Amino acid sequence: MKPLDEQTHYEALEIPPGATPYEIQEAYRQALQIYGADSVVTYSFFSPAERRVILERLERAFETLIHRESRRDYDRKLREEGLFPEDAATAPSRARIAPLFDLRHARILPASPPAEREVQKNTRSTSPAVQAILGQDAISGEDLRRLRAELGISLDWISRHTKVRLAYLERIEEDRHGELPSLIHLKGFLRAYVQCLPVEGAIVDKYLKRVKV
Amino acid sequence: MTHIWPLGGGKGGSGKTFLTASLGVALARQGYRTLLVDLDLGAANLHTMAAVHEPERCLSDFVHRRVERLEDAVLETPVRGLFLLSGARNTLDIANLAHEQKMRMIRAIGRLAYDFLLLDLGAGTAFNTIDFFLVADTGIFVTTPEPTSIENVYRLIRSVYFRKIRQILKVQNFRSLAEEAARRKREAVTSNPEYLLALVKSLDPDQGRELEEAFRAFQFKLVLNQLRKQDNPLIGPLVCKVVGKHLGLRMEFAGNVSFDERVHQAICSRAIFLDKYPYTQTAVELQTFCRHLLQTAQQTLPARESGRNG
Repeated sequence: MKPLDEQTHYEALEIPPGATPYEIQEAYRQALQIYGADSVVTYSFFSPAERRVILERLERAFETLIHRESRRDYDRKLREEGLFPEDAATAPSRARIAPLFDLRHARILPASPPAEREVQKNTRSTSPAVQAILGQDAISGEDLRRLRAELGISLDWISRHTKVRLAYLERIEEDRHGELPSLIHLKGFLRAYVQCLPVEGAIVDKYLKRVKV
Repeated sequence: MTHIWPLGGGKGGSGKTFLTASLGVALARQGYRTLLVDLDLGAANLHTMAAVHEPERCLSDFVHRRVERLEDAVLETPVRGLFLLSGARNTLDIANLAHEQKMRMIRAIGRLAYDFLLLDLGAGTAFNTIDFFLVADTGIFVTTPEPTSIENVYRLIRSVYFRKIRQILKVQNFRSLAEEAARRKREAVTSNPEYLLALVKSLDPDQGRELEEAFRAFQFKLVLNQLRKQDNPLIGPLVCKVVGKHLGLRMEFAGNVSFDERVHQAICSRAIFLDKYPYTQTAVELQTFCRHLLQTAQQTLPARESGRNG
C-alpha cells in the first residue's frame, strides 16, 4: 500500500470520500485511540519520531476534511489529479500493509530504485525504436517523449522519483524552454529526467544542442 | 491431520499456561484428541493446571533418549481425550536445549498424531521459543491489557517475523541480501524487521514476494486475558488491526477472557477451572475462544471428519 505521505486524506483516515463530518470525526477519534501517545494499543510499537509523523499526518487530514471550504478545495485538487474515486461509496482498501515512510524519504535508498531500473534495462532497451532515437544527432522534446513511452515509463513516475514538478517535465518534452526558470534549471531537470531512463547515450548534450541560449 | 497451535506471549504471568490447559480441556470435552505440550522448558507448570500431579514421564526422557519415541513420554490426564507431555521432571539443563536436540524435538512434534496439539511456550523471545512457535503457520498470542504485556507481544511478533525472514533468506542462500540491508540501516536487522522486508523487496522483488507469501500463510490469533471491568474491551481488536496494517500479518482477534479471582482459587486447589467454575463469565468466554479456534480449524480443512472419540 501507499506510504503515509502519498495517501489521500481519506485514505489516511480510512474513510470513503463521501464520509459525513460525523464519520470524519469518529474516524479521527478512533485513529487517536490507536496512535495517540497514551494509547496502550501501540505502546512501544512506534518510535516517538514515527508516532509524531503519523499524528501530524492524521491531524492534517482531519483539519482539512472537517472544514467545509478546505474540504471542497481539497476535493477539487484530488479530482484534478484524478485521485478522487467518483464512486463515493467505495471504501478504500483496508486489508493491506501501510509502510510508515516512503523508504526513499527516510534516506535509506538512493533516489531512484536500482532494482526497478535494472529490470527495465534488461527487458526493453533493445527495441529498434529506442536505438533509432539514440542514434540521432540531436534529440527533441518529442523524441524524449517517444523514448520514454517506448520504455514504458510515465512522466508521473519520473516526477515522483526526481522530485521535479510535473509541469516542468512537460515543458521539457514540449520544448518550451523559455518557460523554465533558467537554463541551469533546464540542465539539472533534464539530467535527472535522463537518469530515470534505462538507456545509455549522450541524451542531455543532444537535447541541449537544440536549445538557444 | 493434526492442528498445531503454539501459545505464546512475551510476558510471564499473562496466562499462557492457564489458557493452554483450559483450551485443551474444552477441546477434549468436545471429543477431540488433544495433546498439551509443555515447552516452557525451564519453568514447566502445565501439569498442575491439567491436574496431573505426579507426572511419571517428561520431555527430558525424550531429549536424553530414555524413551525412543516422543509418544512414549505422553501422559494421560484425568480428562478423557486430553494428554500431556510434561516438563515437570525435566532435568535442570533443559532450558538450554542444544540446536540438534531442539530440531529433533520439533520433527518429533510434527509427527505426533492427535486432533490438536497445543504448545505452551515460555515467556521471552529466545530462539528456542521462537523456533517452537514457527513449528506451524498458526499461533496464538496471549496478552493482558497492560502496556508491559502488549509491549512484549509486539516484541515476540517482530522476533517471529524476523526469524522467518532469516530462515527463508538462509535457505535460498540470500544471506548477502540481508547483509546489504544491514549495511544500509543497522536497526533494520535488529529491531525493525518490516524495514528489512521493504529493503529486500526493493533490492530483489522476487525474493520480497516470496517473503510476503510466507507471511500471508501465517494465521495468528490474539486473545486478551485478564480483562477487568474498567478495561477497554476494544484493545484486542485494535492491536490486531495495527499488526495487520503495519506488519502485514494476518492476526485475528479470538476474544477477551475476563479476570476472575476464582482462576487463582482453582489453581491453588489444583483443580481444573472449567470443571470447578463452569458457569462463570470467564468459563463461558473460554468456551467461546475454543469455538472460535474450532471454526478456524474447520475452515482450513473443510473435508475433515468431525472429532474422533479417543
